[in-house]
Amino acid sequence: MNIQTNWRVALLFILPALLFYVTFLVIPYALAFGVSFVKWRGVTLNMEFNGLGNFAKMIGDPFFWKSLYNTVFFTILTGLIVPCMALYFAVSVTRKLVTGARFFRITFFFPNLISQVAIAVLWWFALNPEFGILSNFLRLFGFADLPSWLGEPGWARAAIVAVKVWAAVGFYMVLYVSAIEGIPEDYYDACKIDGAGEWQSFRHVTFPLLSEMMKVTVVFLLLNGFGTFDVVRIMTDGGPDRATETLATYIYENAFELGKFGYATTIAMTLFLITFSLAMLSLWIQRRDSVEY
Amino acid sequence: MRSKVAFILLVVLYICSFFFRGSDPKVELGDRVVEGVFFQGGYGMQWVYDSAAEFERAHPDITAYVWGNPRAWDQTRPRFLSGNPPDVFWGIHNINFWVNLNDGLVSNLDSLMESPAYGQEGVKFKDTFYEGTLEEGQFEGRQYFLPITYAISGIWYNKRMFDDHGWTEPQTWDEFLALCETIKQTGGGVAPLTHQGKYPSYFGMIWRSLVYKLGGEQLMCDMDSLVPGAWNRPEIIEAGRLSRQLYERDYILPGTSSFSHTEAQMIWIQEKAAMIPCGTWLESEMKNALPDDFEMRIMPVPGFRDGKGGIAAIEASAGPAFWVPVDAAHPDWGKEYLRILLSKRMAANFLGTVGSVQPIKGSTEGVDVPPATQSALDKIAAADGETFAFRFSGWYLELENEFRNALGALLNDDITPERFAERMENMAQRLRDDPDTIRFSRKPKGDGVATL
Repeated sequence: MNIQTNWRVALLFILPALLFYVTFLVIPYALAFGVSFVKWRGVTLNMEFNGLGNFAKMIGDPFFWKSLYNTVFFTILTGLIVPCMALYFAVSVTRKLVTGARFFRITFFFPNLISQVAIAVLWWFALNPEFGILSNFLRLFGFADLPSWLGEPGWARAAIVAVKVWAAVGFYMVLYVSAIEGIPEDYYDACKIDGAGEWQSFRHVTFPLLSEMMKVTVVFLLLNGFGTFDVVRIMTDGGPDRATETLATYIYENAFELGKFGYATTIAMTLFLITFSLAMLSLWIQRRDSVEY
Repeated sequence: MRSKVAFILLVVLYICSFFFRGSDPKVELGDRVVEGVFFQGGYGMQWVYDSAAEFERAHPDITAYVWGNPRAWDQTRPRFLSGNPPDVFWGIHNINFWVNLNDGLVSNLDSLMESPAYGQEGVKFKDTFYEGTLEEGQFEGRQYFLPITYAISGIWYNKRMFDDHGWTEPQTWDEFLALCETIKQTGGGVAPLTHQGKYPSYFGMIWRSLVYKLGGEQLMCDMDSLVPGAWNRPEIIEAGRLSRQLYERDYILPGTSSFSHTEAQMIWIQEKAAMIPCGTWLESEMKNALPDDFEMRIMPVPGFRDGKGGIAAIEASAGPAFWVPVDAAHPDWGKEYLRILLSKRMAANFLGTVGSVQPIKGSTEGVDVPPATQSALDKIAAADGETFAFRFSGWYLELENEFRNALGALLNDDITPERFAERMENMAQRLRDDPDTIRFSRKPKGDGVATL
């Protein structure tokens, strides 16, 4: 087979996927890029070119900055808490530091089997100050003056972070578990011979060998965090007083509630640029050679 | 072998898809079809089906194809984009009536308003509506939208609870505060008031009434017209202070700020609070949860002896609902559908099946009006017809959003009443500065004139 036919065969295999990719991803993104420069209400095809007007408006829009701030806040907090907790659980269940490790593996992974919408509804009920499980549980211990969890800005933000962590930690735990299980037992045996305890084997073996995986998961979490929508939309609807408004919910408000599709697309393009940069960062991190045992 | 079977199955499936495609029921009905799409919510769909049957009785040669969905607007938006909308439409979620009008999507209904009323001799269609209820659907004096209900808003109370304790409806705000104090002292796990805290616009019913009763119609019109400084006037701050005071005196059930509308209403029905603000849709919205012996009554938000608005005045609104899309296949049939849908007979049927009043004269005659709704109609009579309806929430959605957020923050004690007014005035200023905002203006005495 010569190179020419190879090329043709390759094209034949690539073409369907490429067509699909171009039609449903590249073209819509390109169109959205165009829409971010127009005024468009989304109900007719009338569009009015607005130059950089939408971007200028965005920079002067205090609600945009507030939702960007909140998005970064949620993203950084979940990006810090989830890997730490997931690592802690992963080490606990793989290094057999707890009894019933199998049970915990399954239980922690469980939220991943439920859709984000169901999770949000579940927690919305649980956090109801009147009949929710959390308030009633705390009342058992004599707490009387409990806050309205989703009704006060500080608590509402904390609740969103807590629910996102709860929903994500199991998945990352499973990733770390498989990575830890891939570390040859010999390394730990060598540690033992050298007189190292469990903490020292973690510090000098587990953690260094997991660091690649952790970097990648942190980037995943960042990408995920910037798209935060469903949990916020259902639990607080961005409130109270935009305390939990994220870029995604603000885009939704502008497009579907206020009928400002052009402006909403401008914010969406900004969000896209942020996540695109993060994705590039992820590729850059993964480009280094991985450890081989 | 297995892969071959799978491949053949896929091919068969693909071929089948050409023969067993879902069909479009409207197309199957032929050419002479009027299509109506309606929001499906607390009112159900029976009143729509009944009006379709009535339409077909009146026009046996035309089929009325009607359907509903809670997300009617989101579902039909692509059809509006492609120039193939239904003939008559009612959507509520995410819809901005005035933007649609500005984009040329909405038919003018002036000829329909001049046509004879359906089923009534010698009466024009426009003369069958309650006084002042058509204006909320007008722009520059011309009719574009028609109302679905006449919603009366105020404070609802549990009648039996009031009777048992000998509590009576307060007239003035001072009497209201005294009543709240009495309820609080009575104890028994009953708070004087709760509200739909997750959606502060419900508490807005109390706040708006306070503003109207303090500042009168002129202030209301100035606020709606975005007159500079209107949102920063002392009455706005005072209404905020009085609202906040209910929290400071512990008259509001703890936890209220995170209740959704159904949660708060449920908690009120469970007698954990004596009163709740809401509109006349409350009874039909909660009918599945209501105990048989539960009796609800409405009262206007109490006023002030020295206020500019009447003490007994009550908020009543017939906001825009139905419209006929310009690009409809049969806009004239769409208008005819509305003439029948909002006829005296169908409005009486609506009251009978849904329990809510439509703003059609005589539609309550000979119908068993539910006691809750009747109490609202009685309050309008008691107010000598002094009703009011703010328009800013429909005219300026951004202002409404900021109103909800700032009011929630005020009730939560996150901002002061002064800061609340300042935020509202700032948003009004942003809208005044925004060339894309459609501006409206309004004058007292109900002669609201909308202008670009």
